[in-house]
Amino acid sequence: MSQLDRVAHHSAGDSRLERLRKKPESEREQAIAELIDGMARPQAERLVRSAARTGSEALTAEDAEDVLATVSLRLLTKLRAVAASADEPIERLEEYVTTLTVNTINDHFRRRFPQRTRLKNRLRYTLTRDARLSLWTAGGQLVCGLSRWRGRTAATETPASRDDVTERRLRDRGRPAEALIAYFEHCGAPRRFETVVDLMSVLWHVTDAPAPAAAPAVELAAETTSESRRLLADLWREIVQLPPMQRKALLLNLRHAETSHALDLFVLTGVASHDAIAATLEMARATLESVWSELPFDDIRIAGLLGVTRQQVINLRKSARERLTRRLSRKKVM
Amino acid sequence: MTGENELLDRETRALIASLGEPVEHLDFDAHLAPYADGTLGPAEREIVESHIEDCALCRDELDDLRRHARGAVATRPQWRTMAAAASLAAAVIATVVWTASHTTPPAPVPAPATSAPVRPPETIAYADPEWTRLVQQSLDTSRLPSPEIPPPASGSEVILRGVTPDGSPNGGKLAPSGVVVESTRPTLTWPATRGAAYAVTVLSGRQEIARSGSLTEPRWTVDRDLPRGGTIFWQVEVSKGGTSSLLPSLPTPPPAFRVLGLREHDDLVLARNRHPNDALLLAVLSARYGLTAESRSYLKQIAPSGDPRVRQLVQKAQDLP
Repeated sequence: MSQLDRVAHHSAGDSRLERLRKKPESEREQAIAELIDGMARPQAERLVRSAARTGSEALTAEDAEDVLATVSLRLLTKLRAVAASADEPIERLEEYVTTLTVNTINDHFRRRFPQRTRLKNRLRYTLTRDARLSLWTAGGQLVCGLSRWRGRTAATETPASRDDVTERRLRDRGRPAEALIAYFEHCGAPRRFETVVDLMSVLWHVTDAPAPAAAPAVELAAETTSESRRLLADLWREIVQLPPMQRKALLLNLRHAETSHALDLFVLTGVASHDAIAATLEMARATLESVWSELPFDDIRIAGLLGVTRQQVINLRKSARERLTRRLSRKKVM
Repeated sequence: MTGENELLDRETRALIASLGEPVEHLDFDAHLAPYADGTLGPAEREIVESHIEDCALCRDELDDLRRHARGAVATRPQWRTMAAAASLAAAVIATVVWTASHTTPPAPVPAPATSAPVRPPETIAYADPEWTRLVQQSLDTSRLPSPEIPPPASGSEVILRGVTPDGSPNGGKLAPSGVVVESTRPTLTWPATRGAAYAVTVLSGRQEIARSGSLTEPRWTVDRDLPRGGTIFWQVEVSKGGTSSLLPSLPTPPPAFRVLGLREHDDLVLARNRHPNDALLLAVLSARYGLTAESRSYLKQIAPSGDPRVRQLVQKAQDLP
């Protein structure tokens, strides 16, 4: 489970969001805007200012604005979904905003410095999979070193000059574990993970080309009052193309404020027949008819049908929604 | 707008708004690393593979990490994962079982000049523990693995009746159908009709994703990359003498095939690069990923082996229709 899921999917919800959900639809957008401008954005701004780093990764003013715009847009999308469905609580809004902002900053760096990101992934993988090495948190920092040092804080003194043998081992990027062990044995103490990444990026000549133009933020389509059926048809086409478990996790739980379950909407508009829905759910038509009045299913029931855990159902549905958001945004549906 | 349309409109917009989810990239600990380890469960694997269809950033990171993971397994003396421990245990068990059932060790497998060599089973140990497991299992059961994901159920082939063939090489069949193909630009063939023109439509779900121009030969190589992992349907419009008809005609369902998924494709490419002469491994992996014809082709390349399990595996596979 990702960090954002852990923050979002606790039992009770944040009381401000409970109040938001109870508001009439006509007042929700205003309430969402007030939450974002009054609480979320100032908090995200503080985090972005403190996240400016020296060395290889640094946030320019333009980067910072890009990150804040992305956080606002992502939060807007999430709050709209929370307001529309009682099934998506956020327990602590401030913590959610913190995690969302940190993730957005990290995503920004992943786009800006892809080679460095890959190097970090490889080093993290080696540090967490080789029994001789370890990666841990100490003193609020990510620290790494030999396994027997686990739990210690990072040393800050500059290590002595390296001899030829150590230097050769360090520069051998084909044997990353041995290179790391050579470095730690030379230092005699754990180091900050970022320090190790900086060193290895120099020794192994890992550089990033000048950053490409940032991808435009996902635009939300202007709502139209005359294309409902086309929107639903586009949505149905994308749902049908979802991988099977995501498709079922989404459809069997799809609910709507004004109708008992949203599958009715597809049938009423003629976008999808009962046969098509049954085929999409890989279910016999007779079976679908027998459970139609029991829809939407709760996650425990869906978990039983799919042979997975409840949390996996939530993750599958989240992944399905992300994919629908990406694809329908390109078509200016969402 | 009538009241009913207003309600429909409002409900539609609200439904679409409720589906919005902030798009995030894959998480290193929850997704990337365990996928590279091969320890991700089917639900999470579906999530990852669905995400990387659209996200080049995560796809590139995952590809890089998988290459790193395979290289790390090959060179590391100590390995923490359960996969490596299982591989070691499997090798030990294989040695014990073999020793218990044989009184004398087998003669070393000769390496014929023109055929692919096969290593004696007790020394089979690939860098990828999953490869080791699959090959060991195939030898133990004398059976190639079943496809991880079955090919689409449109029948093993769509054979037309009542259509006038014109010496077509595929004997009246539409191909590919009911199979997995490796290429994202496969060649489609169908029975010829003398003097006809053809137009091919390729669909994914209900969406048209490729269309040929007017053709005079009963074959077409798709001119754009089809999505990996997806099930593809296709049909041919045959025009002659001012009339046109569809192949296959109703009620025969259209032929369907699946394009090999990204993960499976990467795995096969890696295996071919690392073990280009290991026909047994390539046959096993091809079978696992649904490439039945390719699997049989690799089996034919295996030289006569002193290992009875290899002989039995090859024999049984050749006996199948």
